[in-house]
Amino acid sequence: MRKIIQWSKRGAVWVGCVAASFLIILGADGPSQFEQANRLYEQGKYREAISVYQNVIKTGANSAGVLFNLGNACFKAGNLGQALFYYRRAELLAPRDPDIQANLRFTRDQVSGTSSIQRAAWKRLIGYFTLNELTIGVAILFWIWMISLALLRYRPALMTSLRSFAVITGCLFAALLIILLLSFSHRRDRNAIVITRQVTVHLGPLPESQTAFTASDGTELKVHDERENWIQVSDRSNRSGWVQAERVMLFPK
Amino acid sequence: MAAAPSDMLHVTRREKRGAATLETLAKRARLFIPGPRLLVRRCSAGWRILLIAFSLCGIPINAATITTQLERESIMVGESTSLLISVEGGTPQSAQTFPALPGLSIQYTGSSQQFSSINGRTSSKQILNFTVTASQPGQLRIPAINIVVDGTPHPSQSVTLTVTPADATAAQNRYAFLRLNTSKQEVYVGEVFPVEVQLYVTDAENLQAPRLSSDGFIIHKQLDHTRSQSQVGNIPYNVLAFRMSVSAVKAGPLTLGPAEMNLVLRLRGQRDPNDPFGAFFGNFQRRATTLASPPVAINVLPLPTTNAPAEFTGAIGTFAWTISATPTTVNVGDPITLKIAITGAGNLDNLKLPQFNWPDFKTYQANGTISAQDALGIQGTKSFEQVIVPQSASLKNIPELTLPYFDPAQKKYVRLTHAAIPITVNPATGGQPQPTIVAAKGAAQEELPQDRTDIVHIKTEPGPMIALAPPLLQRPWFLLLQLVPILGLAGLTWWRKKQDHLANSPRLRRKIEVDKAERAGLHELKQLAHSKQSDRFFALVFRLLQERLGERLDLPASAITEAVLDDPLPRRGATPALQQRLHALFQICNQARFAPVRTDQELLALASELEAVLHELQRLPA
Repeated sequence: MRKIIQWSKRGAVWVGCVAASFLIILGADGPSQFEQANRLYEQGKYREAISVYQNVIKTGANSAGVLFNLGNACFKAGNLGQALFYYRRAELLAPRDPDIQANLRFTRDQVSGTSSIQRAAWKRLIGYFTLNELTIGVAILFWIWMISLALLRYRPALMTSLRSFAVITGCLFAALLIILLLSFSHRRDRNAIVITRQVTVHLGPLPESQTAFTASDGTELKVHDERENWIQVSDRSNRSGWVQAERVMLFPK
Repeated sequence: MAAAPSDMLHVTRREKRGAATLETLAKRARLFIPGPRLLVRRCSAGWRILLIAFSLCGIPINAATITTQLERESIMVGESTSLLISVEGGTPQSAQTFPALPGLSIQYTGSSQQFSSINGRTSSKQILNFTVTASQPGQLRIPAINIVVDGTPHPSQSVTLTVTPADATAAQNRYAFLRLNTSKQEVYVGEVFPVEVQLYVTDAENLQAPRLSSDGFIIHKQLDHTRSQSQVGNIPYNVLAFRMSVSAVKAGPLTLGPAEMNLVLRLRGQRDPNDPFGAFFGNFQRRATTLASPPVAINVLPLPTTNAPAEFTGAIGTFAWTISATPTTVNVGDPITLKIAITGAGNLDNLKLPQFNWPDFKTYQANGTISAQDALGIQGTKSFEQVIVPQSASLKNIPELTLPYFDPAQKKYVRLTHAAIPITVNPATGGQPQPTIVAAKGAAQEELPQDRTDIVHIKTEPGPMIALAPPLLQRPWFLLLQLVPILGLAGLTWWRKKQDHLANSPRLRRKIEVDKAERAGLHELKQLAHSKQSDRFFALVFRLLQERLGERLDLPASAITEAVLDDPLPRRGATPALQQRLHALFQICNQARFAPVRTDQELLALASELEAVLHELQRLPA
C-alpha cells in the first residue's frame, strides 16, 4: 500500500513537470514571441515579423492566430503565394473564422490571372468543419446509435419507442460518415501554390521543355505527380505541366 | 452574294435540323471528345409548348437582344460556315437581306428555336441561320442587318470572317489534316491575339488535344473545342476548332506552330460480301496518325520606346473608360470610391491603373474585376474600385486621371484622360478616426464589405495552441475505442439470442432450473446431515429425486412416485442397477417417516449415494 502511494506521488510529480514544460513552451514562450512579431508587424518590419512568427510555429505548436498573422505579414511583404499558404493552414484549424476567410478571399482577388483552381461548392461546405470536429460528430452519433441498438437488444419491449430513433440516428451517422470520408479524401488532395513572381509550367519535367503555361504568384494549382525536383500540376482550365518544386509550396505539406 | 428573294426576308417557323444532324454525324464519326454540354435541349412540339407556357409565366419579358455569331471565324476559300443571328426576348418577324459582298455568298437556310434551362430558369431564343461561303481570301466584314422583332427593327452586329487561301495540305490528305490560323501575322510584344487550331477529319477516334509549339509566345486561355461540318472539294469533313489566346514575349521574326495532334483514323474499306455481319459492324481499318499543321510566321514588333509615356503600365489594345466618384461631398478622412470601368479589346489581365501620386489623398490598392464579352477574354470590361481618402479640407477636386496604353491598330501610344472631378471636403468633425476595415468578430464571410481595400488586421491573441498531431481519424487508440460499442452490441446480441432460445425451450429451461436446485439441494443435504436434521434431510432427498425424475421424464415433479421407476423410466434407458438404487432410495425415504433418526455418517453416505444416482440420471436421454 505504501509503495502504491509512493508510485502515485512520483507519477503525479512527473505528469506535473511534463505539463508545466508544455505550458512553458506553448503558453509562455509562444505568446512572448507572438507579441514581439506583432510589434514588428505594426512597425512595418514585415520580413522580421515573418521570421519571428515562423519561430513560434517551429516550437511545434500551431495556432490559427499565429498562422493568420504570418499570412498577413507575408501579404504585406508582397508574397501572395506564401500568404495564401499560411491562410489556408489557419483555415484548417479555424475554418469558421471570418477574418481568415476575408483575407483568403482578398488575397485570392489580388492574384493575377485566372489559372487558380476553384473549390466546388460542396467542398467549401464540408470545409466549414475541421476534420476532428467531423470525426467527433461521427463518433458521438455512432455511440448513440450503438447504445440505442443495444437497448433494443436488452429490452425488446422498447422496440416501438426506440426503433424510429435508432433508424434516424443510423441514417444521420451514415450521412455524416460519408461527409467525413469525403472531407478526409478532399483534404488529402494536394495543391501547389506558386510563391515566385512568375513561374513557367513546362510540358515535361525538364527546364528545356516547352512552356505549357505560366502562372503568377499566388496561383493555386492541383498536384498530380511528383518526380525528384519537379511537380506535375494542372490549372483551372485543366492545362497540365511540370513546375520546379522550389517555385511552389505544397499544401497540405 | 445575298440569296434571299427580296429585300426583307420573312422568317418562317421551319425547324432547321442542323444541330441534330451534326450530333448524328459526330456520333456516326465516333468523335468522342469530352467537353461541357450546354444545358440546351431540342424538344418535341409538346414539350416546347409546355416550356413556352412555363417561360411566359415565370420570366419577365425583356427587350429583344440580338447576338450575331459565326460558327467558325476562319475558313478556307471555297469553304462554308454558319452565321447565326440569335434573337432573345421576342419573336423575329422579318430580316433585312445582306447586301452583295465581294468574295462572300450569304444564304438564308432557315430558323430554329432553342430552349435552355439553366439552374431551373427556362428561356427560349430564335436563331436565324445563314450559310456563308467564301470565294476569295482576306479579312471579310459581314455588315449588320436589321431584324424586325415584334414590330421594332433591331440591328445585328457586324462580324469579321478570316478567309485563308485553300490549304495545300488539304489536297495531300483526304482523310484528315490540321490547320493553324492566326488573325494576325504582325503583332506587338504583349499584344493578345486569337489563334485557332482546326482539325479536318472524315472519321476518327482517340483524338488527343493539339500541341502547339509556341517558343516565344505565352498561351493565355484555351477554350473547349467547337465542332462543325465543312466540305472541302467534294469531301465532307468534321471540323474541330480549338481556340486560344496568345501573346508574344519577345520581339523578332518568330514562328508559331506547328500544331500537332495524335488520333486514330478510321478508314472505311471494301465490304466483304461473304461477311454477313459486315453491314452491322462496318469494315474499318484503324491507323494511328500524328497530324501536323504548317507553322505560321509571325513578325513580332517591339513596343516603340520613343514617346513612351512614363506612366505606361503595359496595357496594349484599344480601350475607353468611364469614371465615377461617390460620394463627392465628404469630411476629411472619409473614403471616396472611384469606379473606373475600362472597356475594350486587349490584354485585360495586364491592365493596371497607374500609380496615384496624390499627396493630398491617401490611396488603397484597387480591386480589379474582369467581365469578358468573348470566350477568350480579349474583349470586355475591367472594373476597378479605387478608394481614396482626402486628407485636407482645402481639396476642391479629384485630380485629372490619365491612363496611357499602346494601340496596335494605330501603332502608337494613346492616352485616356478624364477631367478633374469636383468634390467638397469638409473639415473632420470631432477628430473622426481613419476608417480601418476590420471584420467584426464572428461576422459572416458574406457580410464583409465588397469594397475592402486591405486585409483584415493581425490578431492580438494567438488563440489556442494546438500541438501538431495526426487527425483523430488516423489515431489507433481512437479507432480501437470505436470497437467498444461494437463488442458490447455483439455481446448483448448473443445474450438476447440465448434468452430467446430459453424462452422457446421449456424443457431446457426446466433442466437449468433443476440443475441449479440440485446443486443447492446437495449442498444443503450435507449441512442437514451434519446438524442431524433427518426429517428435513429425507424430505429434501425425496424432493430432489422427484425434481430430477420429473425433468427427465417430462412429468410434473408432484406426479413422481416409486411407480415411475418401473414404467416409464426403463423406456428412457435406465439400467436395472439404477432402478434398484432408486428403489432403495425411495424406500429409505419412506422408512424415514417412521424411524427418522440416523447418525450423521449414515446421512452423509446417503447424500453421496443420492448425488451419484442423480448424476447417473442426468445422463439419461431426455
